[in-house]
Amino acid sequence: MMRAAWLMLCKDLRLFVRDRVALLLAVALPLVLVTVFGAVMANIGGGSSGMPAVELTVFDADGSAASAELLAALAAVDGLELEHAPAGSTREALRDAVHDGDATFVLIIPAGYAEGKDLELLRDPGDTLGQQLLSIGLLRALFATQGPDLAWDVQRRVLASAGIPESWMARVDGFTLPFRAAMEAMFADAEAAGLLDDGEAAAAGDGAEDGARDAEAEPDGLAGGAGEGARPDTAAGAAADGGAADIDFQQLMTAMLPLTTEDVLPEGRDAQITYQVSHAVSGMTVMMLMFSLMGYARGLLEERDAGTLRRLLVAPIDPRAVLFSKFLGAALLGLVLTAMLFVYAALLFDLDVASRWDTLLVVSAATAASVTGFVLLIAVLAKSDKQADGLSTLLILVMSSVGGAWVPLILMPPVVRQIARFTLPYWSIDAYQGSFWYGQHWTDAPMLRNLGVMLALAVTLTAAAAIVFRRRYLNP
Amino acid sequence: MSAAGPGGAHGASAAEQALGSAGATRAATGALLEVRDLAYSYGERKAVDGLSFEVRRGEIFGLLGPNGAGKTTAIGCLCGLLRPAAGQLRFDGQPFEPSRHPSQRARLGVVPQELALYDGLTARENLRFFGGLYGVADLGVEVERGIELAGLVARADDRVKTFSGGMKRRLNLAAALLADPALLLLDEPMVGVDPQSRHHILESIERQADDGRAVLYTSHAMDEVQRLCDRLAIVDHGRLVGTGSASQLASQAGLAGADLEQTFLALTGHSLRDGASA
Repeated sequence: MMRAAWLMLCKDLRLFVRDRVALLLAVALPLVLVTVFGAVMANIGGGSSGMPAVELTVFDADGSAASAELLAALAAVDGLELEHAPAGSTREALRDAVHDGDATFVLIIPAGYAEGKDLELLRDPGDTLGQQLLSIGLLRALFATQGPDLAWDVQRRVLASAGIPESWMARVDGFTLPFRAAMEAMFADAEAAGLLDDGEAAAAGDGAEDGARDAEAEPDGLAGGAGEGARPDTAAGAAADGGAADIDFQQLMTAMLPLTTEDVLPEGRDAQITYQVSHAVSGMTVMMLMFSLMGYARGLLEERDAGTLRRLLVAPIDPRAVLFSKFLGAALLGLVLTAMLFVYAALLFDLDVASRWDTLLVVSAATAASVTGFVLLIAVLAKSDKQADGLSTLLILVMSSVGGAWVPLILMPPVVRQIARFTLPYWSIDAYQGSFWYGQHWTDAPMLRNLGVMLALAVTLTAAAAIVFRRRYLNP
Repeated sequence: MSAAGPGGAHGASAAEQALGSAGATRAATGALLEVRDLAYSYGERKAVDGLSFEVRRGEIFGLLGPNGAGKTTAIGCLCGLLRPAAGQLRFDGQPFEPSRHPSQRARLGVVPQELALYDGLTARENLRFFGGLYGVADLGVEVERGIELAGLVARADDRVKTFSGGMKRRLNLAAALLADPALLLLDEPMVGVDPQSRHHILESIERQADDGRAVLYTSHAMDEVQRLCDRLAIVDHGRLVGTGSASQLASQAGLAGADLEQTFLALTGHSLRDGASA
C-alpha cells in the first residue's frame, strides 16, 4: 500500500504544483490575508462597547470592608469576569500564573488597602486589548467605591508623577477644595436621591469625566506640568469612549490610579509582538490552511469526474491507498504552507519562530492532520464540485469566525467562547497562541491537551472519511 | 463452461466458432473468463440479473445492450469495482474475486468509458504512473512501447490537456496495456474519436487478440462491433437476450442475413418485449 500511496502522492503533488491558479490561491491568498489581518489587529487600540469581557483574577489579602466593596464593584462591571484566586495564594504563585499563561491579569488587594495602600496588578503586557478593557473596568470600580476622592487622588498622583513637589500639593488643595466640597455635596445628594443605587458604574463614569474636566481646568502651570504621557483627561476620555489608539495605558494607570503594575513576560516571548499580531497570524494560518487543503482534497472529486479514480480503483492496489495518499499529500502540503506562513510572519512582524520551531512543527503537524481529516470528509461527502465548494466555504467561514480565527475570542460573548470549543480552529489557534504568546513547549500540559484534541479530531474525521469513501466508491 | 441465457446454450461448438459476419481471422482457444449467473443490484433495481457468458483467449467478445442494460455494471463486477450480489467468476479456471483480492486485477487491463488520464501530466508521465501502480517490470521500456502503440512518439512529453480526443483515446488504451494483461476490458473506448484514431485503435485491439489476449468490448457502434468481435452477447434489463456470432444472433432473432443493428433492435427493441420474438 505504501508504494502505491507514494506513487499517487507524487502524482498529486506534481499536478497541484502545475495548476498555477490553485497554487496561487493556496500560497498568495494566505500571505495577503495574514498581512492584512496582522496589520489591522496590530493597530486595534480599544473598541470596547461593553460586550467584551476580560478575565481578571483577584486576590484579597486585605479582607477589609473596603476590599470587599472594591471586589463587589469590580464584579458589577460588565467588562470584567472575576475569578478569585485560592485563599492563601502567594504573590509568587500568582505571578507564576501569569507567567505560565494560566491568567493574563491578576489584581492583588494588599493588606493595608483600606488604609490607603496601593493595589497591585500583575499582567501579561502584550494583551493590550485586554489591558484597555481592564483599565475601563478598574476605573469604573474605583470611582464607584471611592467617588470624588479618587478624582483628587488621581490629580495628586498625576501631578506627582509629572514632578510637582509634595510641598506644592497644599497649594493645589487650596484652590481645589471649594470645588471638591461642591463635588462631594453633589455625590451625597445623588446618593440620597437614590441615583447611585443601580447606576454606580455610570455615575462613576460621569465622575471620571467630571474629574477629567476639572483637571483640564487647572491653571496652566500645573496642567502643563502633568506632562504628555499622563494626561488625566485623555485617560478619562479613553475610559468613557472606549478607547483611543495611541495611549500607553500602563503609564497612564500607574500615574493615575492607586495601583502598581508589574509586567510578567513569559520566557521566550518577543516583547515587541502583541497578542493581536500573534493571534492574527495563528488565526489566518489555520483558516487559510483549511481553504488551501480543501482545494487539494477536491482533487478526489476531479478524479472521480475525470474517471481516473475508477482507473485507480481497478488497479491491483489496496484501494485504501487512494485515500491514504490524499491524506499524506494534504498533510504534507499543510505543513509546508504553515512553515511558509510563519517564516513570512517572522519577517514581517518579528514573530519569534526560530526559538520554538519544534513546538510549531508539532502543532502544525497536528493542525495539518486534523484539517486534512476535515477536508477529506467534505470531499468524500460532496456529490459534486459545487457541493464541495459551498459546504466547505460555509463550514470554514463559520468555524473560523466562531473559533476565533478572525478576532480574539475575548471580543466574543461568553456563549460564543463556549461554542468555539466545538470548532476545529479553536484548538489549533489556542495551541499556536500557547507557543507564541505563553511560551509553552509542546510537552506542556495545556499544549498536550490541545494536541490531543487535534489528533482525536484527525483520527475521527479521517476515519469518517474512510467509511464514506468505502461506502461510496468501493463496492457501493 | 457454457453460457446459458435466453438466447440458448452456447458451448465451444463448431457452429459457435463460426464467426459469421464478424471478424473471422482469429482462432480462440479455451475460456479465460467464465461468468455464471452474475447479479448486481442498486438498491431494489436489478442492474445485472443472472448474466452468464465466457470470454476465450484470443477472441474479441462484444457485450452489447441499450443504455442502462447493465453493461458497465457487469464490467464493474468483472474488474473488481463492484462486488457481485450473486454468481461466480472464474479466471483461467480459478475462482476470481477481484473486488476482494486486488492482486487478481493485475491480469486485467481496463479502459473505462471516461478519458481516465491526468490532463496535467504528460503522456509519458501518465504511462509511468499507471505502469508504476501495476508494478510493471522494466517500466521504461514498456512506457516507450505504450507511447509507440498510441502513436504519440512526437508528443510524449506534452501534457495530455493539449491532446485531441483521439490522442487521448489512444493513450487511454495504451495505459491499459502497459501491464500485459491477459484480459482487456474495453468499455466504449471509441467515443469522440476521428476516423484515423478510430482505425488506429481498432487495429490495436485486433492485434491484442491476435497476440492471444482475451478482449471484452462494449460499444453502441454496431459497425465497430461487427468488424471487431468474434462473438457477442446482447443484454437488456440486466439479462442476456442473445449470444453467439453476429449471424447466429440474427438467426436467433429470425432475421437471417440481417445486419447487426437490425438484429440488435429485434432482440432489444420494443417488438421483442411485446412478444415479437415468439
